[in-house]
Amino acid sequence: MKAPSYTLILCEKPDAARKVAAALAESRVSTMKIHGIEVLEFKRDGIDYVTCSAAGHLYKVSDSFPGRDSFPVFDLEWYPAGLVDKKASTTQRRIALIRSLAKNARQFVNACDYDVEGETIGGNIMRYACGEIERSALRARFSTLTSEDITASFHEAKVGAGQTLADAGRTRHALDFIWGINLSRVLSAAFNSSTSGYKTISIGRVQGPTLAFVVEREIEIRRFVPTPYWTVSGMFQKDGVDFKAPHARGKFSKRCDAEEAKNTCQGHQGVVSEMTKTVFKEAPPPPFNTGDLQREAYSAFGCSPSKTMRLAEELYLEALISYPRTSSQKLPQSIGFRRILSGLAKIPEYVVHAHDILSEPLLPREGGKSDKAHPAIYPTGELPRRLLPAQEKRIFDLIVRRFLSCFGGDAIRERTELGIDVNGNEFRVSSRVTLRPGWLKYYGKYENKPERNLPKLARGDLLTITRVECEEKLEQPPSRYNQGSLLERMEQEGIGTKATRAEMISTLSNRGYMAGDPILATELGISVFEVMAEYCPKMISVELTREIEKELDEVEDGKREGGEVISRAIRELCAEIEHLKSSEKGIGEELGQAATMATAQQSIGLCPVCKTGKLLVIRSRKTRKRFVGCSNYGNGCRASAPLPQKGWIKPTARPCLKCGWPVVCVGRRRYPWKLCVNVSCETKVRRRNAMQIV
Amino acid sequence: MSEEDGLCRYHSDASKALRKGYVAWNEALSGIPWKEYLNRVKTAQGTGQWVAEVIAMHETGDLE
Repeated sequence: MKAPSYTLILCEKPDAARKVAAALAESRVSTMKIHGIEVLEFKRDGIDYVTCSAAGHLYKVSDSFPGRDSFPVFDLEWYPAGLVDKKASTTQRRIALIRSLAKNARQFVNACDYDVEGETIGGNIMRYACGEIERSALRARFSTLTSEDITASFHEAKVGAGQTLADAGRTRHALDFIWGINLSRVLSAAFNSSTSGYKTISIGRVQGPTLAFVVEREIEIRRFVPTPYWTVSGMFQKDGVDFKAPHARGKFSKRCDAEEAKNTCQGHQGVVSEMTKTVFKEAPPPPFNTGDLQREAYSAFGCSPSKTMRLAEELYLEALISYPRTSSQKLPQSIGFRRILSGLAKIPEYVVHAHDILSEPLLPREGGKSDKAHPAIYPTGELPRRLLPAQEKRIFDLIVRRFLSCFGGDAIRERTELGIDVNGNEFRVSSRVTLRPGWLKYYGKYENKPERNLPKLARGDLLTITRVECEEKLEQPPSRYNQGSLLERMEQEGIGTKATRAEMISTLSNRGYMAGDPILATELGISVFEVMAEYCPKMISVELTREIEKELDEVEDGKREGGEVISRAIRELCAEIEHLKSSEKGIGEELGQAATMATAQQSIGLCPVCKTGKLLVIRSRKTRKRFVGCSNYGNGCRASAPLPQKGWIKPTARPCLKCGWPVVCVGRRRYPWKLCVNVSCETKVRRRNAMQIV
Repeated sequence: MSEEDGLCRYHSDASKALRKGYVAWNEALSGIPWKEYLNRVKTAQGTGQWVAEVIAMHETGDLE
């Protein structure tokens, strides 16, 4: 190992550590593997540097494990993650390595991501593994992993910068732990005391209100009765061009009224009674922050928020984009617009657009939201060093085009609104055309408002009616949330953080409280919501969660102590836990019924092997993958089959005509398909053989 | 199970919504027999799961 007196740099991820070393090194970077963990050494200004990475949280908050089922739990400590979570067993080796590297270090630099999570990861390692040097370590803050940004951040590194972020992070982790562990244990105890099985029923601080959004919508949909209404529309013709215009009244709630309107139009001509033209400007959208990027990626490619973040993280680690976890919609001058655009001009897809923008003054459009730690998400102008996989490339293109569009001028559009009178009935139609594309030149492919053109008309023109239609329609229930709209709702309500919202949605699915996309609440999800709403409504209320989020923001700003927020949460929890404990029997029965229903719903049909068991959709505890297994497994029936891992699965109640195994309907978005679950079904074998011949 | 028809809260709400819907359908179509109404709602796109279950109970005579 190196002689004493080197500077130890701690990064959050191995890729970031490599980038930092490459940016700072004035000598060759030597890479070593110690216990399988990468350590990088280099020299700069005659000083030795050693760089290593944390690979996520190495310390986790937990109680002192006297009993896994006891509650309430309010005494917490930070422990090495491997002691708390079996899956994090490799973290022990990493902690041991950092501890040994710290012994010989003369100076420490925390170079983890500059946000609440990064600060918590770095702060805890400095505090627990490096010997309480958290407050004397330097903090390097950068928003991109480009060499310029990294070098500048090390020149400007300060002691104690970001301390309040670390305090806020620790408070958030402690609060979420206290909330989750106590409520989950009280619910699980109730469930397990009234049923013969064992199940963990968990609910968290942000999970509760998020589940409430989904369940409330589900209830509305399940008890929806469609009512009829009618629309009347006319097909008009002018100079050989046909166009359709709806009746100005919109929806007719009575059939007789709609038919009367239709009949009075028959045999008459239309007269253009009103025509207004409005030219308006459409400003470019603001640059992306985390939420905007997740929503846009979902609407453009159907990419889930958590997946978008994973892809954006990859792009960040490649130094292609800035840090993707930000609330900001601001692009400060200091990021170097000209340098970025010149870089983008070297990529064939953007060469024309970048030169076009570079020929004008560079004044980007910004949004109202800001973030103390990072600017909005922007491309760094670096060229990809490898061929980007298709999904990463799509996200990169979206970010680049959004950035370019911020420099485009307003789009100029013209809207024409037309009023047509037919024997006292008014029909209205409008058109929209783009006169000057402005920012749409760069972002048009993601702007999905269709253009509509009408024939040239003037007030008083006569129009021929070729047809009048009266159509009966039914009111539809509200749409289910999808991952994008649920994320938007969480953001609007101010619950969760930019870094945790997407993860929260995945957690609720993993717990079995909701499924699919669009999102359906499961019986278990509805039941957990019902119990919470009946016995402790405050715990799932948006108001309380929002208030606590505000208090956590104040901790982040240094205006409030973390302990104060935790004390308040404990007070709130104590009262609710008492109430829940006193109603344990009722809660247990309610949850037990829901679990039974959920199991019944998972059954896809009779087992064709043992003929007595039911084939169930089961999720493996180990791999989290789903498969079909027989309910008689305990009695020796080994019938099982794999299942597609994505999309919803519904039983069809009909067996396969060839092999007798159940057929399920598998769906993802709009295209469901039917599938015989038997992997050895004759139909599949035939298809496989045919493919081999090809 | 809580409500007067022996239905749970959600199915009871669905039953109420079904009855309220009949008033709207009756007015919209200037009259529709109850059975035809049930048949149309049952097959309509957008009918909620609990409403469909309540209709099934009406059809089997479990609900009046």
